[in-house]
Amino acid sequence: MNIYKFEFKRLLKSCLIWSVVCGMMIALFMSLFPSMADMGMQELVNDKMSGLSVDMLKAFNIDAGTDFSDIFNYMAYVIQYIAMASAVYGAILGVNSLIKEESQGTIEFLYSKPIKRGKIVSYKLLSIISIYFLYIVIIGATNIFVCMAVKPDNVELMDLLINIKIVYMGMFILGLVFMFIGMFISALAKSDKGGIPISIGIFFVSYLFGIIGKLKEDFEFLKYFSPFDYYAPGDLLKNGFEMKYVIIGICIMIVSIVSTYLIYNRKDMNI
Amino acid sequence: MKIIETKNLTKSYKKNRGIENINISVNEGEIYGFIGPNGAGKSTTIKTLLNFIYPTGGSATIFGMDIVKDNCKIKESIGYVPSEVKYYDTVKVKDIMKYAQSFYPNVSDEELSQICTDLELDMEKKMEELSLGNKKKVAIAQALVQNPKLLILDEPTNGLDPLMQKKLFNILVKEKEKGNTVFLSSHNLNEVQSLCDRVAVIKEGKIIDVIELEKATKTLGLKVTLSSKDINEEIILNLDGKILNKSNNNSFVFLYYKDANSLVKELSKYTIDELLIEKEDLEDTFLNYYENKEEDK
Repeated sequence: MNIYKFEFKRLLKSCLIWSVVCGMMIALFMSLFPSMADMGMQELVNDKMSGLSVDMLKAFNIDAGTDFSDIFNYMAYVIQYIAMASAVYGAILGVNSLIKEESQGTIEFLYSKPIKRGKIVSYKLLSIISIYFLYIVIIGATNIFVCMAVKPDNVELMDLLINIKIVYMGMFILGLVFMFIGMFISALAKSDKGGIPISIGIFFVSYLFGIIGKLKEDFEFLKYFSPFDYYAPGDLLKNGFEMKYVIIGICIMIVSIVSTYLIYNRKDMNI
Repeated sequence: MKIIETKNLTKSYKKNRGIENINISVNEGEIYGFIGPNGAGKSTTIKTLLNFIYPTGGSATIFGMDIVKDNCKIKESIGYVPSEVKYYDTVKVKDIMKYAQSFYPNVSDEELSQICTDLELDMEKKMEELSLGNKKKVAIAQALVQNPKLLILDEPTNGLDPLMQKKLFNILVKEKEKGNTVFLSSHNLNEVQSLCDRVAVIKEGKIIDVIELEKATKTLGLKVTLSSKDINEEIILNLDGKILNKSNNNSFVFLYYKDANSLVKELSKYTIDELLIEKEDLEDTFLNYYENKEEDK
């Protein structure tokens, strides 16, 4: 567990920075809700939105039934941007997990110790999952507190908690999917150059597939290439977790991590 | 007992030359040098031995165990000092040392603090704040934590000032006295010849010789540097001198293996502008290997 503890400590600072920045964004977005629920504003927004094409609305995960004066509809819409950032954070944690040690040369310290390569992968995976979980807990808690402050009186606290829980569970799994894919890339990579652009890239390419899948019926299958759409906050609040997407997500994770172990075990370290 | 034994150990890359059919055998309790110019394959050999990279041919054992299959078990008794110390920059020295200790359940806090005191480590500093020499000290300290039976050092003198180098050599001699084995690489034989029992010379990925330093030192001749208008190449060859270097203005550097008196007598027949007679050093022998090898091509 020494590697786990060491890694956790090392990643904690960046985790807190991500948590604070995303937490502040959540607080900002959600604190705008009361004015959004205001009748005048509602009319203005509905007016503007009715001017947009259905396709355009779909691309932003908004449908005809979306009502921004409803706190859950509003939250689902704004939190999807936090979910995107979280997916990228998950991917960054994964991409950096193994290759950074090689590029920075620190693997010469770690792998000169009596430790199997498989254990390095396991402890690192465990530490980034914990770090990501901590991040989700912090921003989830922020969301709960802000929502409690801005929620209309007719919304039950329990409903609020249940809905926030499902959104953040989705966000956690979404981050894990990208984290596992990232770790697979990390095992394959020769250097850590471009780690962050790659992480952002894999998310947005998959997200783009999702948008195309939503806009063109012929390409609907492309939705399966977009993990974001498996766990989009709006869909989760409306329909809960869809079993097929949960299974696909788990399959992606299993394939990624098994490949990671296999590749890393046979890899010539680039030092 | 053989601590390290390689049999035709080979690592080839698509683009770069790696190592080819390396056969070395390191005995228990000796300091073994691995000498060669930069890019000769020293680090590749060490990284293969430590399983950072996989061999593409041959095999090797450390403590009689296979370097690939049993690498984790082997590393329980190995300390490794890399050529360039690139440890976690933002981590404090004390945390690096504790991290190193955490891999060996039998190492007590007292033993750890003794090593840190002996090497005068600045425990509160972060790695990024340390000079090259001090980083190396941390690397040496973390390698000694578990009292390893085998210490592997890649270019240990790189970036060290003479004082620090002396300290390092004292540590290595102490390790030898404890019965531990030291395997170190260097591109400079002079630096390590006083320290090593044997050295293997590697060039272009191949071992070209293994020298027993005690024996080799006994057979060393004289290295003569002279400048004289009266002396030409033929005269030196007649003296049985082995020319290392010559320049147009009748300056020669040559090795002479007979009695010094006879050399002085012979040279007194000529007018000499400059003369320097010194003991041949191993570096010259070492360079000879290379040059001869080049000529063979």
